[in-house]
Amino acid sequence: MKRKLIAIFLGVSMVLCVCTPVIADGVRPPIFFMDGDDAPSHLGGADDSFEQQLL
Amino acid sequence: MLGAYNNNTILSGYRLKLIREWRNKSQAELAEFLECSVEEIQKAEEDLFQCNFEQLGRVKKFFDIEDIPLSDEEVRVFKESLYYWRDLIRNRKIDEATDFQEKVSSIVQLPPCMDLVMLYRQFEVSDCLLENHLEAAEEKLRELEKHLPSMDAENQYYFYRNSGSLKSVLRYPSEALKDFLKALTFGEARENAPIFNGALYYNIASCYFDLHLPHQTIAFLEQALDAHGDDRTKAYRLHFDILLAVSYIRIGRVQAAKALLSKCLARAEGALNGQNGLIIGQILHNFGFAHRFLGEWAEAIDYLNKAATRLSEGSEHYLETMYQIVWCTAKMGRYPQALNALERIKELSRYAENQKYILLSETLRCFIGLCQAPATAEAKENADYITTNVLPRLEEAYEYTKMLALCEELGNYYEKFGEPSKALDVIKTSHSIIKRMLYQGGDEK
Repeated sequence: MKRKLIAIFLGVSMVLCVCTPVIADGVRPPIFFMDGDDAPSHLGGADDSFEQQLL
Repeated sequence: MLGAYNNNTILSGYRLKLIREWRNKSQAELAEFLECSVEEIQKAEEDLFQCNFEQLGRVKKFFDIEDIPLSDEEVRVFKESLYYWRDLIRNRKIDEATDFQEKVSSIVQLPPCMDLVMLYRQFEVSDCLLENHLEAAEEKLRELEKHLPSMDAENQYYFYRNSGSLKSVLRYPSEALKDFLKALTFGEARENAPIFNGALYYNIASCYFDLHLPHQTIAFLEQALDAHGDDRTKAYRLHFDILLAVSYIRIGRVQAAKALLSKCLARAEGALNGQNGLIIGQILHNFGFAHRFLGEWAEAIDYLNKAATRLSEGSEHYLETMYQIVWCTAKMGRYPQALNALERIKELSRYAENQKYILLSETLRCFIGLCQAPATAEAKENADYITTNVLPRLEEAYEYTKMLALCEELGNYYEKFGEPSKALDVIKTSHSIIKRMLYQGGDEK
């Protein structure tokens, strides 16, 4: 009986496990050490050029 | 007489008192020098000291602090200079920043202007972080922490902003998240706060991402995009979208992720800058991740190989891409190629002394062994090694997706080769990880 229960649990669990969508991982760009959008206007503040500097 | 004519400038009486005490001068000495009464000095120190520029110059001469900001207007102008220096640091205009630093560093000679001194120190920390001088940044932050109770909102903002950045780089995402959230609170409280601090929002979402909390990552980013619209988020949109795309894959929304990644790739390729290789490499890697998610090994390898050419060899992202390539190659049954690529990871991770990938290359070796000859005693040893040595260490490092992938393989292996209790343990582990990813914050680990 115990074996049977384990077998059922394993069966259900394996289905759950196999259906788990996450099997790999992605990467993210690095964090920003400083802000861009509170820059004084003479340096441009937040605009496309700031983003390009980060690329 | 003080303030008798032309109220050109105002000096905080409190600051005057601090400077006088710091310079070890009595009110009588100052009064004598300024040819006024001691009572007038007392009154000025209790409230505001209104004087003209000539008087201000004489006060500064008396204290021998001629290069240092004293009046409220001078403090404001000096603060602008500090911001200018900060922006030179941020934009990596290193020579200009170094030259300009000489102009603003005089402030450290003036302990009574603690707010300005601390602001100067905060930007020094930012400089250390950008230069990757992490130990120096840590030491400076430790010094600044002593002044935390007396810091104004602006200084607290920069303190937590820098502290969060350091912890994020040192891989303490839970601690980093707490600091960034505090920075967000103080940032909103400070004077002239920006309407929307995109960089900080991105950093907070990155912490959720590092904690493997895809739902929180998505909710936080979507909320920011909804609340602040296209214009305000424009400068950070590429970074936001990459995080969103990977988080979508993590919860199974692969098509939405692919559409977003295509947009990201077009935008990144459109940006004419020599340094966009890293971002393009990451986008290609994430395309590989999307295909790998669908079990499309060949397509995944194709994208991952393209990504590898864009990433700097030996970097963390390069090693991650190589890890995925080896995994997919092994899943396709191409063991000699997998072992060949694995040798490269071993070599690079040892050279870079990257403990995480030294462990992961050992994990891959075991994994390939498990796939290649599952019915051997060696395969059993490999499976047990991963279960007992690798999984706990991956859990400590919040590497939940890698854990799940390994648990799936181990569960299949143990079930197939007659070890149901071990299979059960592995499945329990993966269930607890899934639950954590779905329902809990990382600090409730």
